Amino acid sequence: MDAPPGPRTPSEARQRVTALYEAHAPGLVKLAKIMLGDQSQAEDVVQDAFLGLYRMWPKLHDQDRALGYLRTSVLNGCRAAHRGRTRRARALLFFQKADDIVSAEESVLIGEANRRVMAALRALPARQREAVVLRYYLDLSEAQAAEAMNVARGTVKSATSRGLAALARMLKEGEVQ
Amino acid sequence: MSIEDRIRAATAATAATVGEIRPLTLPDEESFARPHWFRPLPTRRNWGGWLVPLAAALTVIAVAATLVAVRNSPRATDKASAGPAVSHSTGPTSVAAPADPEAVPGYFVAISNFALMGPLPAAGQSGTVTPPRPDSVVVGVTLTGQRLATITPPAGSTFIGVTGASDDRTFLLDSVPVKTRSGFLSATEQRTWYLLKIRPGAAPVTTLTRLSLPVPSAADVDGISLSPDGTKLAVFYQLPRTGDGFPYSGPFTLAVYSVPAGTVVRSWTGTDPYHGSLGYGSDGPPDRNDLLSWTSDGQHLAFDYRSSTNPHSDSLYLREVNLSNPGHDLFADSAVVATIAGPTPTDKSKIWCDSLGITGDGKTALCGAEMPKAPQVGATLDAVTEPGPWVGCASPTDAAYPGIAAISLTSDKLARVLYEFRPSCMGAGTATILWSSPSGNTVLGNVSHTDDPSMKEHSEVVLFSHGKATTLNWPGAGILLSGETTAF
Repeated sequence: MDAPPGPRTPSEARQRVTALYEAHAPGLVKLAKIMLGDQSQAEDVVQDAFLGLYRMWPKLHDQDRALGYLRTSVLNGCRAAHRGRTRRARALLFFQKADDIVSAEESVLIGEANRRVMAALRALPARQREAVVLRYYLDLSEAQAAEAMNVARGTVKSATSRGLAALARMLKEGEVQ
Repeated sequence: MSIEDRIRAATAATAATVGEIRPLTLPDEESFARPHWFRPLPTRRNWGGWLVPLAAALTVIAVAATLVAVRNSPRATDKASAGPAVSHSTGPTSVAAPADPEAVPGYFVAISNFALMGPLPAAGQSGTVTPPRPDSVVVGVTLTGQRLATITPPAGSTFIGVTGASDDRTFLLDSVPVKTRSGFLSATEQRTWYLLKIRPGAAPVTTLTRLSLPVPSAADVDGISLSPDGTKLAVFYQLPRTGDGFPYSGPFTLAVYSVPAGTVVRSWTGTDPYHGSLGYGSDGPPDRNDLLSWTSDGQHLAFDYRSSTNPHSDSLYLREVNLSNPGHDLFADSAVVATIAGPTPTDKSKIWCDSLGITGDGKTALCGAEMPKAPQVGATLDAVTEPGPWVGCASPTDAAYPGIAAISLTSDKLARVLYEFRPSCMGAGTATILWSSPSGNTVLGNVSHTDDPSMKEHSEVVLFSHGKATTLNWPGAGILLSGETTAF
C-alpha cells in the first residue's frame, strides 16, 4: 500500500502520514460527508483520524494497514458525531422538511430524489448506515466491510439487510422492486 | 430503480458535492518524539501477559450432562419429521409449573437461519434483492442438540417469531407471508399465530395449532412474550398512521392477549413524539422475544424502551406494568425499574446491555452485556454508558468484553457478573440472554465475538448454573440458538 514499513522517526511519520492524507483524505471526507451530511464536520472527523494515525504510527504493527485503520477511525468518528442526534434526526425526518436534515445547498446539487434517500440513510442506526454505505457506496465486499466496521461478516450481512429493509420502508415499500 | 441503485446514485451525488478540503494539521515533531510515543511495541507475549490468565480463568468447559439436572428430561426418540399438520382450535389452559425452577429447560425451539431478505447482489453489481427463503423451526434437546422435529412454515409464509412458556413444552410461533414482489419481509404484514406443543414420546412429537389473536393487521410487531403459564401472550407493536413512512408516528401498544380465548386482556398505549422504540429500534422482523419479560406469577410485565425524551438520548429503560393496576397509558401507567444510561460527553465506558429483562422473581434484571475488563460490581447504572467501539488489537479498548451481568432492581446497581469472555484479541462482541430461572441463578445466554484481524465469528451458548459458567458443546449450538429467535 502507500506506506511501506520503514524507520519510525517523527519526520518520516509526518512524511508518510501527510502522503497518505493527500492520497486518501478526499475519499475519506466524501465517506464522512455521506455519513454526516456536513463537509466541515466530515473534515474534522478525517483530520482526527489522521492525527490518530500519526500518534500511533510508531505502534502500528502493520503499516500496510494504515488505510484500513483510517477507514475504521473515520467510521468511529462519524458514529461518535452522530450519537445523540440519531434519534432526534429520525424524529425530525417526519416532523420537519428534509431540508432541515440535508442542507439547502446539497438539496440543490443532488436533487430531490437523492435528497430523500440521503435523509433516510442518515436516519438509520449507525451500524446499518455504515454497512449500507460501505457495501453500496464504496462497493466493499462483506469481508472488507467487516474489517472496516470491526464486526463479523455475518453482522455486515444482517446490518445491510436490515438497513436496506428500513430504507425501503422509509422510502415507501411500494417503490422497492 | 432498485433501492440499491438509489443508494448508489444518492451517495455518489453527495460525494460529488465535496469541495476542496483543508490541509492536514499535525502536532510538532517534538511532541511526537516524547518518550512514551516510542515505547517498545507490545509483543504478543505482552498482550497475552495481561489477557490470557483472565481468559483462562473464565475459559468455559464442555458441559457435562450430569452437571445440571435437566427438568423433565426428554423421553422422545422421535427424529426430525416434516412437521405436524396444522389444526385450528383454541389455545391451552394453564401449563404445569416446572418441578425444579432452577433446572435448565429440556427443549428449545429455534427459527433456523432467520433471514430478512434473500441474497444480496455481488459487490459492485446492481440488481434487486430476492425474497428470503422461508424459515423453518427446529425443535431440539437443549443439552445435546438432538433434533426432535423440523417444522416448515405453511406454504407462502415464513416464521418470524417464537416464544415459550415455563414448562418447556408450550411455545407460540408467528409467521408472515413471503411476497415475491418485494425482496424484504414486511414489518406490517398480518401475523398468523400458532401454538406449538412438544409431546415427548408421542408421534408426532409436536403439534401445531393455529390460533386466532386479534393483533391489528397493520401492526408493526416489535416484540412478543408468552407468559410463564402459557395462557397470555404479550405483544408490543406500533400502528403506522395513514401515509406514514418508517419510523412510524403512530402510537405504541403493549397488549396482552388471552391465548385460549383469543381476546385482549389488557392493553397500554402511548405516543412518543421522539420516535422511541422497543429495545434499540426494532426495524422489522424478527419479532424479538428478548425485549419483553414476565414475572413468574404473570402479574408484572417488563419491556425495554429507548426514547429521546431524556437528555441521555440513547438511554435504555426497563419499564414494568402491573396487570393488577388500572390504567391504559403505556408511559404514565408503567414504572421505570432500571436505567442503562446513554453515552456521556466523555464517553467513558462501563457497561452496556444488548438485551435486558427481569427475572421471574422480579428482583433482578439480567443483561446481555458489553463490559470492561474489570466491571465494578456495585456501580450505579446512572454512571454507566455505552462502550466505545472496539477497534481491534492494534488499539484495544477496555470496554467491550461480552458477557452476562445481573442488575439489582432494588438498588439499580450492577449486582453480579455471571460470565465474561475476555479473549486475547477480539474484534467485537455481543451477548443476549436466552433464558433464565426465576431467581436468575441459572441462565442461558448467547455470547458472540469476532477474532481480530480475521473477523472470524464465534458464538457460544453459555450456561451459568451453580455459580459456574460452561458452554453447550454440541456442534452449531451458538449459531442455531441465537438471541431473539430461540425460545426454551
